Amino acid sequence: MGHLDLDINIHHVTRVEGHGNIALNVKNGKIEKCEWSVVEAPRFFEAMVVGRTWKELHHITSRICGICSIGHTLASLRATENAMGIKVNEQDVRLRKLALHGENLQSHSLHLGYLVLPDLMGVGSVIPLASTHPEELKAAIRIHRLANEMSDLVCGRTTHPQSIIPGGFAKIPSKEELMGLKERLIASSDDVNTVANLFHKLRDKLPSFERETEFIALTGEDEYAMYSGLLGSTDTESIPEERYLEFTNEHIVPQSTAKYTKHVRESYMVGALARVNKNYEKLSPRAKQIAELFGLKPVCHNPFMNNIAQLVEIVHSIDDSIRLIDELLSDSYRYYKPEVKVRAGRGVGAVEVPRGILFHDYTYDENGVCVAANCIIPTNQNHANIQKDMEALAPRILDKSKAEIELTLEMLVRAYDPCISCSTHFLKVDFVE
Amino acid sequence: MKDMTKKRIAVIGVGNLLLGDEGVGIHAVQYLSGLDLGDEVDIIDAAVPGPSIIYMLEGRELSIIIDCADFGGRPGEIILADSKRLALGEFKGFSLHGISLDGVLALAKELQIDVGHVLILGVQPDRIEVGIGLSESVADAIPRVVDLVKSEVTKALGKAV
Repeated sequence: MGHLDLDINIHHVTRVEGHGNIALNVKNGKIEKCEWSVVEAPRFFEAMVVGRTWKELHHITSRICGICSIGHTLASLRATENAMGIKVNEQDVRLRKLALHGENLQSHSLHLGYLVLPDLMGVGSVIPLASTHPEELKAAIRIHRLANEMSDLVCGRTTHPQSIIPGGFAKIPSKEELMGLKERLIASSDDVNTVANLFHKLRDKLPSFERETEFIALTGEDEYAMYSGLLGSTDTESIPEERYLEFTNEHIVPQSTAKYTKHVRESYMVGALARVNKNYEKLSPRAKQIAELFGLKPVCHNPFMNNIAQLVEIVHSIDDSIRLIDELLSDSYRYYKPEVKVRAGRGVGAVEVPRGILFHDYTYDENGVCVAANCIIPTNQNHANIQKDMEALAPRILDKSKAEIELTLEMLVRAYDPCISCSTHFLKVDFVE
Repeated sequence: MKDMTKKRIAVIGVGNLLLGDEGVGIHAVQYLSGLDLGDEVDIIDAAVPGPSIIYMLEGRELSIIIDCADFGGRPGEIILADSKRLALGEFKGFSLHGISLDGVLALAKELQIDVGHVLILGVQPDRIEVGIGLSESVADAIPRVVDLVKSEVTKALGKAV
């Protein structure tokens, strides 16, 4: 017997700028309101970059998000390079792919270890796990630490890369440093298995909810596309990245100041699950084994499995990084000074970041000054899908307790690993009396 | 245990450079990078590091985190507080992006990660809005922030910087 009347309002009010709320109101057994609402600051991207030069844009945009700064840097650089016809050599592209894997590992290990595990363990935060599951938590932290070291090595620092510049790199890691990184990546197997085993034990805690939707991700012939590729969909043919607006179709909805997107259905999903669904065959053999262990097969329509897709991608990112390092070291590895000839033009950079496909789109004048810009982040592309999932999920869980309903709806939002308030974090100081 | 491969002291600026006074920590470390504080001090532009700040703090004798902070003061007013005096927040949220410094310090404490002595140098903001640059009152605070950092580093090293 479900609730006759229910009033759920979960406010996640972040410090200043953005927040996401869940509202579920039931009256006389009927759902009157079921809403995922997002209030973000008005879009500021264009104002931030227009009037700035091609040398500055990737530095500025890397500051949009502390978690996805490498992805923003690379999407920005690729947009600039596409606009000006700047070529990046194969070695430097491999190094950039390594940087993206570092960011993916950083973000996924944190999300799974610190935010998803507490849900599955039925505890309010990661803190109790420090005493109940210290080994598993330490394993997740070691993976995160390795990912940070990897980003430091390739990008010059953990967040907001300094080494990656238009046309290539300002500085590259030494061969010895890459060999050391490879050894640490190989040695991370035990930690990955420890985390995967715990998730496997808890797999039944993930709701078995499904709703058919469209998945959009970069896709390529040769590899599991992260750095570049065609825009792929589980519903339609692939198209080149410069035609991204045909996929995103941004529009305004009443409950959100963040724009929503849609393609051929009312909503679509981006992120790890979309990538696994679209590019499953390109995963490393070990990553596929993890997917099989959890019964994750394309096309999976359970959004909660995005967590498992992140776990699969942790394994893939480690394996693919080892492959990339081997390729880097087998060629005549050396520093190449980028060559840039400034010219007017428009370019789009689409890159897969931890939360999904990210678009930067710049138009430059003949002096290399940006005159128009657009940016669509993954989370904005997921808002509509979260809303539609919530509408489909809520009626199926009304027989649960209010606390269980709240947790399930929160878990749904968390499964998308959304970027709601990355742009500000400042400290609210309260002293202990 | 102190990490001998790391410098004894870290001065870490955190904040978002794109949001006016929110970026005061970054502006401060950019200024400090131009000064010579000796071989035992790392100056770090950490931006919005999330839990990664744990690794920047770990194994240090002293870390000074410069951040925009709302403590009910006048714009540009500065507080310098031992992190042990702060009421630590909870490490939870919808996403990694909603987790703030106080939550991260709470986690480090629980995991028994030795982050050493952590001082918070907070600057009360005037304007937090989209744009690069500080309000006048917060920009005026930078020299005082620098003096405070130098004074704390001097105390910790036992010699003037």
